[in-house]
Amino acid sequence: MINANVKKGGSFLQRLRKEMRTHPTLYLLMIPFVLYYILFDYVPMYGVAIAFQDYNVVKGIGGSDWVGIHHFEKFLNSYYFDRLVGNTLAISLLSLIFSFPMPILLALSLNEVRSNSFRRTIQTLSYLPHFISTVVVCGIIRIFFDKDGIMTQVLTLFGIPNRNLLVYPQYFRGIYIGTGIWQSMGWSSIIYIAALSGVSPELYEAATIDGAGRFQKMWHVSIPAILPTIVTMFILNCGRLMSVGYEKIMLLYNENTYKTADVISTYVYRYGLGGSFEYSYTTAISIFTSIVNVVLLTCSNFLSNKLSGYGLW
Amino acid sequence: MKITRGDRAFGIINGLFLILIAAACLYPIIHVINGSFSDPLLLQSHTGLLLTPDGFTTKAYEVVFKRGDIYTGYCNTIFLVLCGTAINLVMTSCGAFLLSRQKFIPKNFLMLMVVITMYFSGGLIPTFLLYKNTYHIYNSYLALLLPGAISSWNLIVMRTSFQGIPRELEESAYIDGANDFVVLIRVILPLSTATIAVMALFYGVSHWNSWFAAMIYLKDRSKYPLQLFLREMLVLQDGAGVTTEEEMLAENLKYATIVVATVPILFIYPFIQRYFVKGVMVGALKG
Amino acid sequence: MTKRYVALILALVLSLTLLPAAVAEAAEPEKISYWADMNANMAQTISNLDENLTWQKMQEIFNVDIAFDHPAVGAAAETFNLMIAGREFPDVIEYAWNSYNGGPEKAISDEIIIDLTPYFTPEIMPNLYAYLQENPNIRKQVLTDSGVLYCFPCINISPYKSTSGYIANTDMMAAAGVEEILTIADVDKLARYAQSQGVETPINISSGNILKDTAAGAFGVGYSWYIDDGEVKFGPFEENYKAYIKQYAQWYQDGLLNPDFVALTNGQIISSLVEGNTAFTFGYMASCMNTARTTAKSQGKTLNLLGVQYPHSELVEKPIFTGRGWDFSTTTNAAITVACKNPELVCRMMDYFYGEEGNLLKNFGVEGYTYNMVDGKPVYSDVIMNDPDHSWRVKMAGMLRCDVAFPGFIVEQFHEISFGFADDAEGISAQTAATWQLYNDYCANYKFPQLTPTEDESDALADITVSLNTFMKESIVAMIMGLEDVDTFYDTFVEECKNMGAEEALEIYNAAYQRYLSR
Repeated sequence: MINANVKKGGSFLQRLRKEMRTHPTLYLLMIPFVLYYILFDYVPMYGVAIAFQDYNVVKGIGGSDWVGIHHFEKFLNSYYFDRLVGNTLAISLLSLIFSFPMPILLALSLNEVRSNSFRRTIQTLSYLPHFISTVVVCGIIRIFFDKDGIMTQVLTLFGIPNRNLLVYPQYFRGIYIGTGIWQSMGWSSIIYIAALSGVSPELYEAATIDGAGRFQKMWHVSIPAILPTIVTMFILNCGRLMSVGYEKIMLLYNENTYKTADVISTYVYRYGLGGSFEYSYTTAISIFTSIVNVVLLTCSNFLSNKLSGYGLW
Repeated sequence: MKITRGDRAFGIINGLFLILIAAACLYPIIHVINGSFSDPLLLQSHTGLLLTPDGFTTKAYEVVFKRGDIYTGYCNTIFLVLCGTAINLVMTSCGAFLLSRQKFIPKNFLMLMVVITMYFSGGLIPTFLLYKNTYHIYNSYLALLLPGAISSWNLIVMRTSFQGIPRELEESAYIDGANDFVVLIRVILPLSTATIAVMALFYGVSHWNSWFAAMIYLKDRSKYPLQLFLREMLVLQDGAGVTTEEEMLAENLKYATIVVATVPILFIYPFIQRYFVKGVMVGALKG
Repeated sequence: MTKRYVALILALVLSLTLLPAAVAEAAEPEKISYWADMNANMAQTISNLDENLTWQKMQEIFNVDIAFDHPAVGAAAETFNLMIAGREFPDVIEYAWNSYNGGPEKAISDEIIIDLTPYFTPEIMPNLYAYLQENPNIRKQVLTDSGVLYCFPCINISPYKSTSGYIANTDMMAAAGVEEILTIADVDKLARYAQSQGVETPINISSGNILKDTAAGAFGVGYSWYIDDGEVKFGPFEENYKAYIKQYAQWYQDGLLNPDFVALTNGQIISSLVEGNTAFTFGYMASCMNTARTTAKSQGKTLNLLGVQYPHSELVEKPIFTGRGWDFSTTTNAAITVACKNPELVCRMMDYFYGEEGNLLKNFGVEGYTYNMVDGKPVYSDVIMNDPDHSWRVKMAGMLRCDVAFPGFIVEQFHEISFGFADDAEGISAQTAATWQLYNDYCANYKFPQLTPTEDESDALADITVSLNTFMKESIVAMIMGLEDVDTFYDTFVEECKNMGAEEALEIYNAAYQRYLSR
């Protein structure tokens, strides 16, 4: 890893003092940066205390009773805990496997297009679904996967019955992830397209001279060029495996698909519907998922450092 | 350059693949546009593709534009997008620059600081009380602009791109006696136009679409951004089937508000796209 | 001289003593701050309730100056919590006080709102006092367990308490020889006949309307918590519950119930009704029945629908549930906060809405402008009903306070307009509305009341019921769809409900119910 492999020269403080002398502007730039994080992220973090309290809005954090890890235990022992965590992980792992490579594929594919106007048109069209609200997207999904719906008809060619496919638990994840790719592929590819635009044409020319075909050039020039971006995005995505948003699932699931569709966030949402905002419990659940996410992030970062030589730290 | 048969086949398959994707991605916006003009009565029970409007009405647009506050909303949103994105870009590129320095001693400490904030936050109520009682930014645009000045996710992405800039380019600047700030301005940023364009797009669009912070932190309606006004039209009281006309119009409004909110953004994209042209780096290398 | 001086002094003194009275006459109006939710209909024409006709008149009548504050539309719950956490209150807050964690009495002991009982006298609040005296049933709903008045209630005095119900295709009924739908057997007969005629989904009811009191009520049980014989009961623990599930499972198995009932939208039901693919469904008057009729008409199709009564099975003589809501609407109610300096004035003012004039002002506005008296009854004028730019609903929302939960009474005229009586020459809407109300009074004996569990009780209930609800929905749907056999699975289902704490929840509810009874 490209870390500060500092030469053995003096104590930490000495080195720090020396660097402050040689690179004063770096330390100057650090001030607003650190200040921002302290003021807007770290100071409010006292609110994490809510998870360990029986928080009451009226009493505030100062006056509410402390209950330790009661809310964490409650969640771990809740009736559907296993299923919620299982479904959450299943959905996000499948997303990582199937959705993550798609924007990369799209970016590489666009990179191969010679006509500028064709490339730009496709690119512009591909990110349109990003701007459509989830409610409307789910309305369209319902129409597509209804009995006789266009997607259902296509899928019948593969032996799937011509019925409303949203009724079946076995198809839920497929529909969720497939439509997720459709919604976000174009938008997510922008970052890779930008990375590819930085590749020097000379590299491609050199590869051509060496007799490489288009596929080989993609493999030996394009992919290595965007590999750091891919790895960064992959690690960041691993760090949110425990987080699956509630909105799209709420709009698509039903009593019969709970068993594959109900995730942590939808459970929290239903909990809040009771009217009494269970701030302590929901904060505890979000801390729980964050801890798991951090562990996953750290592990994937470690593995990535080992395997590819890139990492966040 | 010789074009082999394999290359040509590859090109054709690739082109078809892209056309298929584009068609799939084009459909929802066609659906939305047609939906916004469709007769709500027919629209509600519509099945199948919506390739032309089902009936025709402009009622939803009349409702949207009859409300004077829509124009206020546009102005406020444009202001927020411009200011917000400017703050975002300055803060994020400074941060990304710091984190991309190879031999910067506090680098790992800073990275840890950034990563933690991606996962733990104070929650709505404590944050609100802090902003209102201690920072006094309640009912001010500062409450919308400052807290999100850096998205840790974007920061990390930007850092990755800065790290990809060949070391030799910086080295020569340092040898010429430039300090770090000059290196950032003269070397790193000009070589990262594509990344900056992407960040401007990501930040700009998120400002354009955001409404939650405005809903919580703004009191005066004259300060509301566009999306908050548009959202208001969609949130109907649970009329429990009491209305006919309004409930059905809500179906159109759902689509019309997307059109109203999205069209301006679609015009910006081609300008951003310019920066994705191949060979930006080459020009810099030679110049 | 002295006399003159005395006279002068006397005159001065007199005028001085009179002065405050004279000043008071032209006094600055008393300032009141008022927090209320704003909905999308209101936002179309006004940006602040200060522009609302009813409130403008009220401010004139009581010489007050009300500063209204509104959360962004759709943000009432979040903003309310932030306001409570920030402890800066306006004088009056409209909120769903009944759902405040721990109940309204907790809100009083938390020093947010005040106990209005001291002002609840025939002198200060004559109208509301008299009304609640005359209507002990409603009084019981409004006051808390220990008899405290905490809000100015919104009370539905119209006969229309049930706005949804079962709807049947009358042409199919006639062809099937079903004259009237009274029982589940009638439904069955209609559906089977329709099926024989090639109707695809004779019974088209979404899972949301099957997993509900109104469906279970046909079998003499509630879907979950309900009242029977003076105590709270839990449906699955009762004998007839199995029959309720079995009936729907039978319909599913025989292809009478739409097999996609778990993913059914109102739009799909409407298009199915219009295409003649549905004989029997459940829905709201306006958004389902009348929308389907209008759609059919616009497409030149014949569609004859009619609301039918809530049917009952042979196990009971009457359905125990209809779609009725409680008379006291808990959606939002205005309460006075601890910040208010002159609660008496606010009480006098709000009490006006429960009197005759105030009721007219709230629901109809100003005579000769927004309404006219026709045969001694108020009728909305064209200002409301025929505005060139806005629908009646938007005009009502902007000018009056009749279409939202608001202190005072909800009157029948509002419902009649929203049911579309006027546009319905055949009188189908009126007939349907009347049919759906048939068992409202009977239903009141069984309907689960608006209990106020204590804070600890509500926490415990939230823990139990969130998972329990999920489990019930899932299991019952599985039994209906034949994924689990009703006979073999039912006992496991009940056992699992017990494991999840259904009995404990039942105890908590019963304790709360006993407190409710002794109000």
